[in-house]
Amino acid sequence: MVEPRLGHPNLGLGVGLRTVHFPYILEKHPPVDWFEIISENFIDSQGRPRHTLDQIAERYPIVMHGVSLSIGSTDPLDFQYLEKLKKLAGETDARWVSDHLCWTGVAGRNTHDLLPVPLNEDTLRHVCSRIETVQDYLQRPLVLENPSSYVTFAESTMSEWEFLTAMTEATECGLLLDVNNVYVSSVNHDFDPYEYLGHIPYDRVVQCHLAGHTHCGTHLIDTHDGKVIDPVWQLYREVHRGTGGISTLLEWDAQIPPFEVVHAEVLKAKLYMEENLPSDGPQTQGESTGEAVLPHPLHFVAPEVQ
Amino acid sequence: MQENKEFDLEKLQTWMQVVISHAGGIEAGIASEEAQREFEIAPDSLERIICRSNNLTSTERLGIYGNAYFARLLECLRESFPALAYALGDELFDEFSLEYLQRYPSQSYSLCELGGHFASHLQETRPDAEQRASGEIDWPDFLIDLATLEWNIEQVFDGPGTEGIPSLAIEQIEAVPPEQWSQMILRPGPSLRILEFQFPVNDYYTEFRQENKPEMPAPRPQYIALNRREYVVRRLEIEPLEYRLLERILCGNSLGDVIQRVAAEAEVPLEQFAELLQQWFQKWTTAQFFSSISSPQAETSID
Repeated sequence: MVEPRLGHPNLGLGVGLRTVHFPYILEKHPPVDWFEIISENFIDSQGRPRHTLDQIAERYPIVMHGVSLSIGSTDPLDFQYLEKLKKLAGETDARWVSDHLCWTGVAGRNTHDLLPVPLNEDTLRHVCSRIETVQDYLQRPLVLENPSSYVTFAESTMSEWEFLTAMTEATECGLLLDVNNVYVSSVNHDFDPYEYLGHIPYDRVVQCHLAGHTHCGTHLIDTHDGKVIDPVWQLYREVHRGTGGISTLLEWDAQIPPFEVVHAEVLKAKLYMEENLPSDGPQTQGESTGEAVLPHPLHFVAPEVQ
Repeated sequence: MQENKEFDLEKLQTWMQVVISHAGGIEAGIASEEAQREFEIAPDSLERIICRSNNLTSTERLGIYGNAYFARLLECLRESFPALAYALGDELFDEFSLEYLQRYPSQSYSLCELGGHFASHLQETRPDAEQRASGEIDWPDFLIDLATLEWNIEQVFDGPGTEGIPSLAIEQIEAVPPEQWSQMILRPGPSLRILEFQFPVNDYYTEFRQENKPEMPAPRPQYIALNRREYVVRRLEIEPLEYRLLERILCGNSLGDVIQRVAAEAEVPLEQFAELLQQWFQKWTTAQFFSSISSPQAETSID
């Protein structure tokens, strides 16, 4: 019998910690339930970012979310990176450590993109073996997110939900279900997002993500630059029903508005817990402006200088 | 689990990385020798590897990753080098950056390392030495100086610092017994860096930050000390002689040795030099350049 959320608590409604919000959070101590950090922005920091994180971690639960583990890569795992993750997790009392089902580079290179893996038995075996190594090293279960993706492979023999289910059952890793990614990938790969959610082993879902995306006409790009659209909220309602309540986090990474706006957006999740519609009606999808739209991750901290 | 003997994940990942990071675009990437070594495939046969969707062809789908690769990294470089990007203009900055990214693709888990070789890349790819010698062009030195300044600012911002630790006060220097003075060693704070430039790029950087749209300045040597106080990077212009002193101090030389060598090189009368030293020690302690002063022989530390 698996405990709900693999035994992790439901932290409530959280916000992705971004540097532009540092001053507001330190001054106002907003009543947000928890923060998720981009691990790579802090594991080497010896300046303002880390100092601020330490202050925030004293008041709020912290979850670490990485973009460079590259669990699906055929390159060797980077143990120096894992050591830093483990150290930061200990120092911030991170509730869990997550990353993505993806690879970010091979041959010693990092593309800084979350590239999809072909979904078949060979890849599954490869990924599971690496998850076990990482879990042994970190001495805690790893939590992996379904990425949004833009290609599928001829060599894939299973659906993403089949892969995720087999992966979590074989390794006992947790799942971070990104509801927006399910929607983005469903449009890009022509599948039914409700069928996807119908096959997710909800007791193994530790957390979910919400975000905005950009509609490019023929496909969607996971830009994290706007409000959550209504179809994604409807999927979230389904996830909430399936999990019975889950730590929920809003990511907003480009054109970031004031903290109150970001916080208000994630608080809308309450409406979908109570089977109510949002008071300000459905959101429309962000249309592409013709400028370059970038799928995430993009993480960079601008220096303060006099 | 069944094993597909034909499937090779490493080959597929190597191929995909080559294709999406090819500067000429996806189709040129597929046709490149490097990619063809992994999969001998024509662009119109891409469906053997990448499936199409209802709306997009295999090439269009793979192109989303190709477009994102350079766009993401260029955005990051623009954030690391905003003044350089302004000085070059968008088009030229992107051109230089594209060259750079092909020569120095990221090998780090962190994007914060991405610009680490940018100044040396500009140095390595600068126009030939003859033109420099004849004075026909001087802008490469300006660009290299500016890239060096911006990269160092970024490193000081998130590198080691002394916040929360007392820095060396002028009174502690004054308290050193005269007979120990020459053996004393000043220990710099971990964020202190000194930089020597051929152009006044620090002034240019200030003008840029104040949105004064600066023009490329005429060459003039400029010496800058960078350090961090209260998590903010501080820039302080220093004199050439001050730079020489600090350079030797940062190498761990004793004060006696430093002063003797620099005074001799500078050909400054000793009395005048002593006066300058007093001013500089005052300035350095106010700017919190040093954490302690100690004498290795006497094994005393005054911090």
